[in-house]
Amino acid sequence: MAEINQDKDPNAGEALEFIPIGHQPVSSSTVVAKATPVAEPLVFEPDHLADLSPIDRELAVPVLPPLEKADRARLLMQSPNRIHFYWSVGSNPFQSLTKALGSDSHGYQLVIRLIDRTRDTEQIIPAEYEGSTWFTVESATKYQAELGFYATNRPFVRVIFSNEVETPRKTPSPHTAESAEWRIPSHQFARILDVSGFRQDAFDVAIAGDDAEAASGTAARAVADLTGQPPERFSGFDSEELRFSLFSIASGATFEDLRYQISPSLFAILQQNTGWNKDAALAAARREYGVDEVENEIEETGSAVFGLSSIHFPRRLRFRQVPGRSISSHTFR
Amino acid sequence: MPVGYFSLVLHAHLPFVRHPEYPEFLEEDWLYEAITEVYLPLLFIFQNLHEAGAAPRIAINISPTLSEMLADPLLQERYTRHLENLLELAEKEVVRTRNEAQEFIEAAAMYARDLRMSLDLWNDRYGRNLITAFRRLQDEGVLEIITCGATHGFLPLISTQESRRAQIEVAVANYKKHFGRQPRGIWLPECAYEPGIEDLLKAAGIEYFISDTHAILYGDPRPKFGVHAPVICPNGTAVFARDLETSRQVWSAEVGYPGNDVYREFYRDIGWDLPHEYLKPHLHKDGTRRHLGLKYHRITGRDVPQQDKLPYLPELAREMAAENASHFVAERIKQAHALRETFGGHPPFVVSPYDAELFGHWWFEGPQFIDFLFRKLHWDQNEIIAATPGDFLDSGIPIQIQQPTASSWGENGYYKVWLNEQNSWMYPYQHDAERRMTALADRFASQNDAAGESSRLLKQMARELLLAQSSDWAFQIYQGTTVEYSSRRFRSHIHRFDLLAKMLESGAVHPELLEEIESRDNIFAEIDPKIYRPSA
Repeated sequence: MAEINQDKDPNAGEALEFIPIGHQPVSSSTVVAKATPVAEPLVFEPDHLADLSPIDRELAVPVLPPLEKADRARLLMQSPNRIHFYWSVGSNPFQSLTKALGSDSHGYQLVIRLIDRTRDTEQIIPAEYEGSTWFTVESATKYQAELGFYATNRPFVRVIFSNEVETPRKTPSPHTAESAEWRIPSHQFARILDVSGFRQDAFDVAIAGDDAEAASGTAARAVADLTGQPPERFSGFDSEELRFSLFSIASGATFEDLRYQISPSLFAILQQNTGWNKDAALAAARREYGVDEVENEIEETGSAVFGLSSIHFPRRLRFRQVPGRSISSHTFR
Repeated sequence: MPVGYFSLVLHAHLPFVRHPEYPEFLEEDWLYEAITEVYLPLLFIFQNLHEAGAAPRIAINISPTLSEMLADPLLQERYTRHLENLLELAEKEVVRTRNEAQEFIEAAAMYARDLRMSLDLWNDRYGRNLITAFRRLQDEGVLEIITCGATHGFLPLISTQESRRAQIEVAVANYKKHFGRQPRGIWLPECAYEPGIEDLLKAAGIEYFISDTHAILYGDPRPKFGVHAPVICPNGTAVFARDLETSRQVWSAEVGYPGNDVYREFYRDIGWDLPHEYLKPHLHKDGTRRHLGLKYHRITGRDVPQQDKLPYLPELAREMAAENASHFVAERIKQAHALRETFGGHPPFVVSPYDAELFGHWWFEGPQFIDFLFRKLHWDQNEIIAATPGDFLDSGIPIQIQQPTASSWGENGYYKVWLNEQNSWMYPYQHDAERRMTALADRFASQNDAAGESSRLLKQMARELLLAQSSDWAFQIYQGTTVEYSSRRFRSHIHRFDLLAKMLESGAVHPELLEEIESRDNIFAEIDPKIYRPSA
């Protein structure tokens, strides 16, 4: 069996790498993304090519040169929850596999393995020699993609691997500055967010307070109560997402409304618990956070601006307490 | 001490559109319209404010592609022709409206007067070179001109460090050529940032960049003053982020000033309203109708159909611009007091970045608004001071250290506009060219033949790659505007890059073809392809 090589250059040669997999691959998505080929752009022909000089004719029909047959594996971040991957291989990797494994190559299939380097999990989907696809992913997470051969209970055979991308956090940092000069308590930071137009984040920072561990425990407990699962089941999730889910449902949002607003793995778990409803979520919000009532108001500001620009205004889910209490961590504890 | 500071930051950018192979070209009008409606009025206003002693301090990015176009003799000559043609039509319109459509006579007279003045400014005061005019205003302490990516390349989606570095270094070299000094700041193209970009900026001597709001609000650790004070990346580069409140007031299609009923309606233009025969002498040779820039109607109401729009009354609109400016200043004072109280006495620094082309092109009265705004800031109050990001850095006020987060100012705040199902096909081609450029620069750039063919080929390859990287193409393909042209431009630059690379690799140079490509894509005469050699 070939040796494991962790340092292969994605553009270098056709050596295969055999990587033991100690566990079954897991997918954070129940829907396996289908690889799609790279789109062929349109070509427009000018009307009077014959009248042009050879040089003008050459330049008048700007045909994209065919992509050279080569190893390519590129991950690109689109947003905190979506990344793009395109790939190709320079030569038939099945021939290399057969050469290396002989008859043992039966049962292997070419796949993309998307590795979550932060949680050490992975998704595997079938792949062609070349193509592109999109992945729904977690925010604040490092990813790397590999193209290789997969077979159940056998080593993964890596052909090429991509660059690493890190999806950004989509909420405020949980950390305040270490230096006293710049430190800011949560209730004060909530006010800063509020005056900056980030009201949803302001609300969340306020109710989370300054004790991140306690806030995380409270959020996990609140969601666990509703789902009938132990709080530990939720301890690995971002507590902001747990609170966001709880308050969204408490305010009358549907699960579908949450689909692209929370991480796919949290969505998958919550979706399995159909016992959630507005009243139950509101009761949990009242019990854990002392919130009497929550309303939401989605402001459809989106990208609607004057001119051709596409400027971002945050889409806000505005939580209100009724009767009106000001946003402050003290209000909620 | 003032209650707070206000920093207007304008982003003047157009993609490089120059087609010497055609006598006229529709997309070149983007530049000509912007000169007439935006750059000339803004220069005129900045100069008048300066002469009146209103001491406006404004940061403005003149992007390298725009700088190159404004300094290009062919485009200067074509613009002169364009302006003369428009003035001729406007003067014809004064007569026609007097006889046939008196409800439009005020608007027609305004255009004739303004265009006559524009022609005088263009020919006489500025000698057809607006770059010199902007440079002078910077030298006189009015403007702080900042740079941008060389061709507005979307840095996080560029695959190699060398190509990212080239976008920055080429921009800085071009800035020095046009403005005679090192730029202090940069408008990151599309405000697109990811951690690590600040290292390229620092290496190029850039002190600060402009980012979107959440770059700082979601940065680590939490920013003590939100976006109302800059932060400094751990490497020492400062970051100034967009204030949302001022953004909404000016830019929101729902509540923004430009939507006021008395302002000029953008989409109703005589290029579509008047008889074709009458307009024909003023259209391009192909006779196709197009926006001509003479628009006689006001918005009238959000839901009023185009055919029911009322005539535009310039004086009414001017009064509204003054009123909006007063409101804007009053809101800044209120905002500054509220922020200062929230900050425990620390004066807020409110950064308001906008596309420059909003002011005059999309919002016709925008330059008047800026004029009134700075007059009111100077003479009608003393609680807010206009300042540039550079002024803040010079003040010595302590700045918090923070690592900003990846972001852009586009829809949804990240990279979706420039990477999506409509335009993702572009990236394998762009990225291949980026790798190939570095490989060939490494192989050929050290050869000592600066004037030789391999050097010329490398330089032109660099220009084609830079032009292919313009974020404008992916943006317009996603937006569904000028999709064919944008797609064609991207393909053209990749195609030309490939032709040149093959000449270099094979040694079989086609001198006429090389010369023709050089003459068409003549941007960045000063470019040094060594910038693409592999990073150490």
